Amino acid sequence: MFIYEKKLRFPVNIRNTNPRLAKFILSQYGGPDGELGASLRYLSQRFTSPNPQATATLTDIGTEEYEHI
Amino acid sequence: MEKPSMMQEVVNNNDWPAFPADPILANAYVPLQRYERLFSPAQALLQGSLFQELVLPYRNSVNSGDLKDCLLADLQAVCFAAHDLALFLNTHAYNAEALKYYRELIEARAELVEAYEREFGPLTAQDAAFTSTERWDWVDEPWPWQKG
Repeated sequence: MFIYEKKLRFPVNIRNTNPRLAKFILSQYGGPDGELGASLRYLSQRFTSPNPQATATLTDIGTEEYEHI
Repeated sequence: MEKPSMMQEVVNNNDWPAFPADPILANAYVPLQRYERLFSPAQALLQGSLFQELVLPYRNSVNSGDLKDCLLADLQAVCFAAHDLALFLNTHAYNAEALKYYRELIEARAELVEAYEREFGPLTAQDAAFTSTERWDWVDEPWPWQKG
């Protein structure tokens, strides 16, 4: 259902480690308003979507959110 | 009366006006997006949208960076443009011009993937069927979060 591609959507260049910043990023990852939650919300909403365009778009956006992880 | 199937609602909206001709007061409308003013794939990746009219910088902070001149950046640009165009096509399924450009982007993507995998190994586990005949090179590092 999902295929992993060994590349990022956008180029990033991490120059140094920053544990304080990492703490914030971690909540963006799996926290209450994080990427994982967003992904699951879109991918669940599509099951009750009112039209085929919305079903497809929710599938694509949910997949995209999952990509942020 | 039989309910029309959902699929019948998907119609050619290429020539629809952005707003209804007879708007009703106190109703909200979202203008229909047109297929016009596209960025190049590289610019699209930098600006966050293939469509110029959808770039709405927060507090005027415009991404003015530049992409590196490498296979991966080219591939990322083409993949992003194709991805964004696919979202457009979801709501503009009969836009022949957009569909044609999507096909071109996917063809360009296939060429770039081939060139990239020749040099850096497989992008997907499926492609690892072809990148090496001697060994299973899907497990080779680096992964995207590791320093290349």
